[in-house]
Amino acid sequence: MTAGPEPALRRGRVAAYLDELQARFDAGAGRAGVVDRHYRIGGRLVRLRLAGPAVVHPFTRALAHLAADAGPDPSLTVRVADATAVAPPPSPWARPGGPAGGDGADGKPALHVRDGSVEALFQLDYPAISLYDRAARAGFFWTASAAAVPSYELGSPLRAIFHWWGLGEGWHVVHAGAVGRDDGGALLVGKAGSGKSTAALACLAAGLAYLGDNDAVLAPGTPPRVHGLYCAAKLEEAHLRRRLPALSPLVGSGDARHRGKEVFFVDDAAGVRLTGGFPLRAVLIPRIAAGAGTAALRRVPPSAAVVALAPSTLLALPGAHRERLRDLVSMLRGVPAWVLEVGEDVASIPAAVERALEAAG
Amino acid sequence: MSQPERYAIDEQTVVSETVDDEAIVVNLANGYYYSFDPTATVVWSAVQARRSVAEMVAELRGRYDCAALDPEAPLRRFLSALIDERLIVPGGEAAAPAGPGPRAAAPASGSDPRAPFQPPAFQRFTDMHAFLLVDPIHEVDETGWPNLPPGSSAGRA
Repeated sequence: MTAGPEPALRRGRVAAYLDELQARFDAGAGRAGVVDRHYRIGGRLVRLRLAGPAVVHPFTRALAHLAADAGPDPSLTVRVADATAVAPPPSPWARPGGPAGGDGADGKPALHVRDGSVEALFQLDYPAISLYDRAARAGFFWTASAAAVPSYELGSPLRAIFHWWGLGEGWHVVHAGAVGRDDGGALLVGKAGSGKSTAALACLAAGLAYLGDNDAVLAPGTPPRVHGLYCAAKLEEAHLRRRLPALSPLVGSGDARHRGKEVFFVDDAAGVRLTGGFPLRAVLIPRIAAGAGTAALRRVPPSAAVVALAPSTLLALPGAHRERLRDLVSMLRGVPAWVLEVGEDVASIPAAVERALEAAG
Repeated sequence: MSQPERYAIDEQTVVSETVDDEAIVVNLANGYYYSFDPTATVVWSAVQARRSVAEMVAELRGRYDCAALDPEAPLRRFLSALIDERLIVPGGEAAAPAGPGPRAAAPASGSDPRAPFQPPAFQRFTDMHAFLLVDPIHEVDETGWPNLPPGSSAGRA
């Protein structure tokens, strides 16, 4: 799911819309039976308030490895509901017109609106609304039907809300896998189909620490620090069985497919090491090398890492593009980067990753 | 017809940063992104600084050995390409002499005066474009999405 620049929508009433949604949620809580779940993301306590059992699994399964006990003063509270629990009020915005957000070829799959401290993302394809109030540190996710949540949402739920909240913490949700050791790891960056998931899952199977195959949280520091977000992964079933047989028991553990890939949850596998985070030591850019055998490393300048990471990260999530690009460049400028050429021998990838981490110090 | 003397980056839809001697430019409107070579990065920084074309030509002549190729014509072709890519627009004012102006990129390593001038060039990547072209709103009714019109499906493939 991606969003372009803000369209020319009528502004100024989105905050009131969020207030009304929250009021309707609270008024309907008794009927739906609110389920509270807590998670620790990047060391911060997050509370999800889920309106009824139907929305629990789709929006919490990928966060199961981050489950935490309830505590006072969560850093973020997110209400989650579908139309069976909360009927949305009439929307306060006009139907967007014109080439920026209209009916033609320039239309976007998601619309982003900012109203003071409130951010909103309207995902028009299934449909859903993500809202976040920076001042209140409160989010709201509404969708028409929890039963119709697309597979990418199952694998990376509430991503826009975590993204906005993270910006307030100085973090960035980035389009990257992340693997390594507790004392330092690597981001795996690149466009879809470049081999990020294959590389990440090969490392998972080999016992390296795993933070994700497609999303991670990057926090500034010297060095920057990577936090995990989701325990889901996506890979073609046949590819997983053929190249990563140790993980074949995971096939069928998920319940959805996305663009021909199965979405499954890696914490279902025995012996996996899902770590909370590690210092960023290296950036690896997987490339499928046709005809090659073992995985190989080729050193590239930091700009290559930025080109591989920043555009898809910026375009996948709404808002603060200029600031996010600046911060990503700042964080990646001093991190050594390699192209990770992935050949037929997938089992050789973890050793190549470890060589990069050794070389990075 | 002569080209406008000065250009400005389309700040509404374009973001950029420079890493070493390589500008990385993203067009948020269409998802295209670009890697600029060192000469192009010098030009991009000059556009950011609101320098005129004449000033850019002078800067390039000062930075590079232009005995084999004068930079003015390649520069103008490059600026036209940036317009075609919707990264810059003609016009704009010179940067104010006092106060904060656009941040200039670090000097390019290719700016060694002894280095021969190479025409500025960029590499364009379009693989994110498809993510931005899903037609979004046919299921919207006059009250505005997300209140779906009766009988419409809730989602689309």
